[in-house]
Amino acid sequence: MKKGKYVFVVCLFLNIVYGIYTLISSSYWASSIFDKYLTLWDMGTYAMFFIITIMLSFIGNVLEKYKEVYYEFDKNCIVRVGLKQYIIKNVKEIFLKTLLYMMILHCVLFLINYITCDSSDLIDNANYYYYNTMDYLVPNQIFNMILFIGCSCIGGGLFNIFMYSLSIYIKNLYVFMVSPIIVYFVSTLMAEIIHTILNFINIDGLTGILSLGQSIAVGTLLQPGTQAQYRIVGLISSWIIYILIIVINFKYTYRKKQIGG
Amino acid sequence: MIAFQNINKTFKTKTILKDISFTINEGQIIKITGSNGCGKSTLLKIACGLIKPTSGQIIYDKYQNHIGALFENPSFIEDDNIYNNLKYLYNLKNIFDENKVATLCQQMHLDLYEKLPMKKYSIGMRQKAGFIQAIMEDQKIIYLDESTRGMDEKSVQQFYQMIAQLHNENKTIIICTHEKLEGITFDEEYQIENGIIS
Repeated sequence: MKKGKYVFVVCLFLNIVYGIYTLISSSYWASSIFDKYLTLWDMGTYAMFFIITIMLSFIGNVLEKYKEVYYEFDKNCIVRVGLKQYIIKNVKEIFLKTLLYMMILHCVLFLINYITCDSSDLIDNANYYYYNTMDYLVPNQIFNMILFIGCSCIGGGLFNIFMYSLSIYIKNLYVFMVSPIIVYFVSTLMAEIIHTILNFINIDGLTGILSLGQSIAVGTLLQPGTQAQYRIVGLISSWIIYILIIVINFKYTYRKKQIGG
Repeated sequence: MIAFQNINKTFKTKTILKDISFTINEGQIIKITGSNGCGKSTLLKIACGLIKPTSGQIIYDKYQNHIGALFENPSFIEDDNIYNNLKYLYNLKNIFDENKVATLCQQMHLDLYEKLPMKKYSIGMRQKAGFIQAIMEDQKIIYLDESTRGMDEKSVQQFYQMIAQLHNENKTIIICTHEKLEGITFDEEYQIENGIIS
């Protein structure tokens, strides 16, 4: 826990520094403070934010749970509560903690955005729509941002549960520590490959389905609605894909642990 | 009562346990002996619900959710101290009773407030910590696997005393070992050889 708090403070600091840096060094069009926050994501801030946030919620959360598996400490827990209950308890804990971590970090970034925002940064709506045609998830800007933060937090929770579900396959503590970064890059690469292949096939009238390849990317979970063509479809299909993988992984874990050996 | 009924366990092609059947009554102390790799630990894991038998079943008439177990090579969160390890386990089902756990640690010559991470503990100390976690929540059925491994003479004597105390409290105790454990009076003794119990 002490380590978790330490990581939290360090990452919070890095987030603040990076947030300020981005705000000072960037220039972009936005019609309101809410829109500015989303534009920040669309400009690529998410990549840094993702790495910091995920590493923070991962180390302070999933890694602690992985250590139970790694040191075989989970045996003591399973004897007490049973394997099924043990998995459910950990999944709940990881999800809620990640939700909280990501909510805090979104709030911190938004607060920095709010404090440092100058009225000269903003342009009127007419110009905004001229320069920027992004609709993100819904047209209403406030609701859009709330939805974005909510979906991003849920996506973070899903991603961490997904990482925890991989603990049955990864036998090395250090490999597991860097696994979120590996998963991030591999999933992004896979998404690009699948997207390119599907686009190459180019079936008439199926453009929405063709964009589903991008849903594999972890970025779709964490920055819903930005940098994608079919935002809502992409987000929902991304949730479905990751939930399916999680369920399969846990079913396999359950079976393997029950067989033993 | 705990009834082991026709327990068979096979790992891939290797059969570890063959048609194991016996019954343990409440409050008994049972000893299960056998050479290394004969299946004692596997039987214990099946009894605790950690793994499933290939066929057969174990029937508990009561206290199925009050099992304590010390496995061979007790495992802990290695970079954390004994306090956090025991507290975490205790809190899974109950509210941590610090005084009770501190007393148990004292009886086993351990300091609950020792800051050392578990990876720095000797085999004997780990064994004692493992024994404490198996009994600290007033578990009614206690499975112990090679429980005195690495313990010094003084600690072994203390272990005998604690087993006697648990026996007086009508706890059911099953000890898998290849040591003699002369300080304990067993109600029954079983031997596993080539997967068969006798």
